[in-house]
Amino acid sequence: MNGWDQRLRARARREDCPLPRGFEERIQKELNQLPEQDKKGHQKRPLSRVLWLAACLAAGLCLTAAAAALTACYFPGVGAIKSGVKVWRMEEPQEWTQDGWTYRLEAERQGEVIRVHLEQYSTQSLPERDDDESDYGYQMKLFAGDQELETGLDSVLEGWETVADLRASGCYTSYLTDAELEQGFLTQGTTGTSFQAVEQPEEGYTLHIYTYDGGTLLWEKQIKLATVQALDMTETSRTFDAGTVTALVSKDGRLLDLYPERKVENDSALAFVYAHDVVFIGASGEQYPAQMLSDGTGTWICNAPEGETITAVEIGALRLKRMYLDNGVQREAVPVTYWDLNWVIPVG
Amino acid sequence: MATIELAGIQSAQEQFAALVTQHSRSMFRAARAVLDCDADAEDAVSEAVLLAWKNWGRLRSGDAARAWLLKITVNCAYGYRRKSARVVYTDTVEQLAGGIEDPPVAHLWEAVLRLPEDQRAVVTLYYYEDLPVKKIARILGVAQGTVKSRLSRARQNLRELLREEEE
Repeated sequence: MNGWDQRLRARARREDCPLPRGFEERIQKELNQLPEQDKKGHQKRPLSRVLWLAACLAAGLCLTAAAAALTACYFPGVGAIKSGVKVWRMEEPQEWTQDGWTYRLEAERQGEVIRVHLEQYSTQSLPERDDDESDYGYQMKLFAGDQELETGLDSVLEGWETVADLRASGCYTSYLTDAELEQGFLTQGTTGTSFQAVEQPEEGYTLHIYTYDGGTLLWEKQIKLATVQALDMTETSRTFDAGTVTALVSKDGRLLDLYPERKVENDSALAFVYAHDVVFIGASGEQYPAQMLSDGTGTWICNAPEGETITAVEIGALRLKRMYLDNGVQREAVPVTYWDLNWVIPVG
Repeated sequence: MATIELAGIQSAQEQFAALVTQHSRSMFRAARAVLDCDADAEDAVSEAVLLAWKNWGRLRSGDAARAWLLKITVNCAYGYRRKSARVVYTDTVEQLAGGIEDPPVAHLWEAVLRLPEDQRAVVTLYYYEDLPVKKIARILGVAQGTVKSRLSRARQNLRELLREEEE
């Protein structure tokens, strides 16, 4: 490390990233309300993919940044239909194996953006890589007929991680799910690219996957996207001072999703909703604490035994956060938590 | 169950809470380096806390706890970026990068935020977290050479932004 690096590290200790006001208190509150841990393992994709809808409600909203990110979260059910943003995706990932790797290709389109994700898995634990090795990753080109689609710089993580030994200290397995580990995979790599969408040809899009330097065409894949169908959900809403929240419950009562009504009034909109104390109520009278899926959807699932009929879902508390524009600068309001709601949603 | 042993703390939830409390600033800093506003970064940290809690049993050593939390946080932050509808096209990249026409800044973090996104995370982990290149590569899921090249470009940009001479 040279003197410049040492000086910068010294400056880093003095000139730190400021924390948002109340950040530490909010983290403490979250830590005090951690959900029950999922004893059944980590379900990355528990439902048929076609049932998942990507709902981008940002269209027409002037809120930026956080609101746009939040509104791009995934919702099952009616969210996408209401949003007016068209959503397509491959019904099932394409999978193939080559040279000891298992590849999985997925693609989706939200509005005018197509995203392509390529994941690869190996049952081998990769050795440490030398600094001189070329970068991992792939270049991708997407075609609609003869037209090459414009590429966006959507900085998708490129690289792989490997699990040398699950018993070893310091292994990171944040990508590999238990199901993937059970399949014997020890390494996963991810790469992806976004494209500016054009109308899909009847035969679908054509994807060219090249080596990292773009020099060699490795695979040519047809990508045919289909509009997704809405999961049949029961919808019910409740209005609070901070805004209106809609709850979606699946017909079998084992899935709950919540989303805020993002109606913009006076440069402000409800942007975030987080539920506490969610329980699924069985016909036997047993209450099953909800567990949040770890796939980033924010969806709550029920882990009641298969034979148990779920009759209702109860939400104990909701934390709502609004965003607003202050002289053109986006700010977030202090979250409001509504306790003791006893919001019971009958199933079906 | 993770084998972290913290004096006087018994339950898994208490152990986890103590760990997150200890590293929450680092988690926010890492998320903020990837995302473009505080609110997004805080939401990514919040998601990372939940994800880490769900995967708590996978952490095999307290020695790796900080890097493990940072990796999950960075992954969540990248997930936010990936899921967001915001796409940056190539013709706007130069405007985002810290260019020579940027006015100098006096505060290091302000300079970091002006770096291109891929350099911000590397700089944050290297200078603010004092992590070695090898560990940064694991956290970001890229090759060590990539970390080095990003650091090299970041140094050049920081030197211009801070108007300092590199030794």
